[in-house]
Amino acid sequence: MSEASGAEMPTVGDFARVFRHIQAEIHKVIVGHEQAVEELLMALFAGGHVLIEGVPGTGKTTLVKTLGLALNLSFNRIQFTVDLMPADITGTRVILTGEDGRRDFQFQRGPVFCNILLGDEINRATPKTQSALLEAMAELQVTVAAKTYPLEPPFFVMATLNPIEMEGTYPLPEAQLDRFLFKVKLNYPDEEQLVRIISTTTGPEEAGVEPAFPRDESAMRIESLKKLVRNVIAAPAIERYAARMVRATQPANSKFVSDSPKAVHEETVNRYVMFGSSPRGAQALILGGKVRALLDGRANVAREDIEAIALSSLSHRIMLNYAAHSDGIDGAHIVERVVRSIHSARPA
Amino acid sequence: MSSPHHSRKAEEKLSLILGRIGSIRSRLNSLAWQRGAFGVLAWIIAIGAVVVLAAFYLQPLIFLVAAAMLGLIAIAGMTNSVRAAWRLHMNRAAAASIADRRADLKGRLETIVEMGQRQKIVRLRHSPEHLLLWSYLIEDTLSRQEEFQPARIEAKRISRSIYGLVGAMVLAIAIIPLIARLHGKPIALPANQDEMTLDLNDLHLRASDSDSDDGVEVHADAATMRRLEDKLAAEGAAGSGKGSDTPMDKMMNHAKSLAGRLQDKLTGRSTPRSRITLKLADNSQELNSLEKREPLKLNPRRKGEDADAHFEHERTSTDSPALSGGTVTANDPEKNSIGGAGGDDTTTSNKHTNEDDHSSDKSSDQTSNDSSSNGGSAHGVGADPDTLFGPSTDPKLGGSGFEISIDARSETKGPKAAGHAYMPPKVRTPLNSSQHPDEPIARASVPEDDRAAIKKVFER
Repeated sequence: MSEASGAEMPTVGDFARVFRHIQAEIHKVIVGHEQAVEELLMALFAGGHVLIEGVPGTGKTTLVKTLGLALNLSFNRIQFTVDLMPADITGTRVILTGEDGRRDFQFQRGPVFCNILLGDEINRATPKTQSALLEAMAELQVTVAAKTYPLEPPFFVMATLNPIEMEGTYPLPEAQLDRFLFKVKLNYPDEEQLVRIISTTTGPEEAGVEPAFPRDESAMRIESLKKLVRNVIAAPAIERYAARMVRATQPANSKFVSDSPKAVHEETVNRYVMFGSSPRGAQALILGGKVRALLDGRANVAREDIEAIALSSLSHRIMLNYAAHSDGIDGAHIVERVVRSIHSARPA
Repeated sequence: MSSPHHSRKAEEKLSLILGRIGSIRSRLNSLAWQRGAFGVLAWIIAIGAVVVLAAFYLQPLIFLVAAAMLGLIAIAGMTNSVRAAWRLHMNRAAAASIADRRADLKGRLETIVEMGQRQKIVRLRHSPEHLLLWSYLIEDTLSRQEEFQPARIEAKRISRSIYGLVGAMVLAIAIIPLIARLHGKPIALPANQDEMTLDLNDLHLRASDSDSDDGVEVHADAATMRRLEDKLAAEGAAGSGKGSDTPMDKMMNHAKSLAGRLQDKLTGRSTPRSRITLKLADNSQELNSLEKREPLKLNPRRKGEDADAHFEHERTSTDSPALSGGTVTANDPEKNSIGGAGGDDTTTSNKHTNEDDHSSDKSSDQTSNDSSSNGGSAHGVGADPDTLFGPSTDPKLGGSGFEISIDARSETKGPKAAGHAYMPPKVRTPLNSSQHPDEPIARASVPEDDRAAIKKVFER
């Protein structure tokens, strides 16, 4: 059962093997969405969180649940609604009567205290409630009534966004969007995949998922794999490449951009982008690149890794203007153009 | 983390990888500089060949403009070649990056080089040895050393830009026959002719193509020089009102001179080393004075003495093609004694002017055929031009004319201004057996009765 043996630091080969194993287990249940599953796992091992965007019925919730089963980690789900309060997520202090009859305030942990948290349709909650997740996602801790409660690692948040039925929704603030390492899109399955979905979900037997690690080792093993990811070498040139890519998403005419002659500016960016990616985008590029490098059996990040991960790392961090909305331009389009520009600016 | 022995082995492996990258870099840089050198040479050869060809075919001013443009193109091309070579010149990290791409090593070499450099520059806490995956990276890269051998990364030893150089050389070689054909083309003025005499009235003046005054020295008496200047001034004024002394003209003349010298150097055509002495005569004055002096005196001997044997040209200005400017031209060899295109004829006829009366009759015969000009009148008024010097011989002169460029300027110093006016030599031509001296017509006696009437007419 255990793919990565021993308590020592796993090797590059171990990482790729575990990763592929988990991937295979998930695909026992999830039909298609190969890229989405890979990016989901990459975000997990990079120590980030994922925003999943997809129309209803594309398997968002199933995917997250399957991931929890495959990793053998604790899993909670929060269905975000308009009347959901922050305390419903983080937890609250309640008065409890002890055995001696004394009443005391005790912190009742909310659903955030888990390893894998699914925030379903996060855009239906108010910004106040959405913000309740910010500290948990960024700091891996929750502060309630001036008391901080750490979260058990690994802590992995997957939030889903429903792009339709936008009435009564609250688009995520930029600050919260920036907390998500990747934004993964789940599209409708094609006909072949749909047939397989039908056959696997309507039969007498449900597909079972075998956990990759034993329950008591799972968290530790995943943490050691995450540590291995951090040890992957990113050369200064690669870091510059990522930085250049992030800077290229920032419009030249923005008052927040301190331009330099070396910056690559795509005309599309200047025309459609109001605010480009934050430095978190560069971090996401490098971390995602490191995971990709390990999956490829390398101990170093390559430019190809950065380019491959750019779309899911940067597209949700770019704030577009009205012209972009009217012209039907989205963040993915901008990132594609930026990647092309940066790629062509590479030395021959 | 590791034993010293293990560490030494790791260093050896790293050196091996870095040495391989160094070889790749040398090879790439060699190609880069080859590209620059070949490019520069190709530009020099190609443009040089075209310039030399242009020197043969183009007029000086056009040649100068074309040469300047070609020079600019060559400079731009050479700069571009050098810049391209400089851009292709790379450091070790860039060479590693290229090797990564060509061997599909996904940044392994570049990472090793960059992290190694970082270790050298700053001893960071995260120096490569302290990185957990550093040894894995070295081993992984070394296991693929076959993929990044210098010969596999860059197979070429010679830059492809050599094709450009070869093309330029082919162009230059193709031009050689054209140049060789033109190289032997004679210049109109022979080199051994150093003196000739021309009649000012027969000269057609137009702007010179070159203001070089190296080749011609003009001698004439003061009156003739004044006439020459007047004529030049008149021609200059007629020539679309161009003043000869404007700064633009001076600049143009200078440019033409420069272009001419450049062309001469390129084509190998040597400008006449010895100065040609051009002696100008003004026969109209001679005739006028002669006629003024002795209008009806018919002394053949005296006439022969007075009629100085200039080197005359019988063409009138209407016979010649319309030319403008300040070049002295004599362009009908059949009627000009010095008009032969070939140097021999010209030399022969020129000698006549310097020798005494006993020079050959041929040139005199040729020059005195046309009596419509005043040149012929110098040989005797009343003589039969057809029989004066015996039967005419066929001219043996060539068919092409010649042109001498002179720059006539008034000078306050020098031999011309010092009054050394040229006095044409007197020519005495012996009569042959079929010729007879001119017989003076006896003055008719006027009857006494008529004298009063004649006197009255003249008084009126």
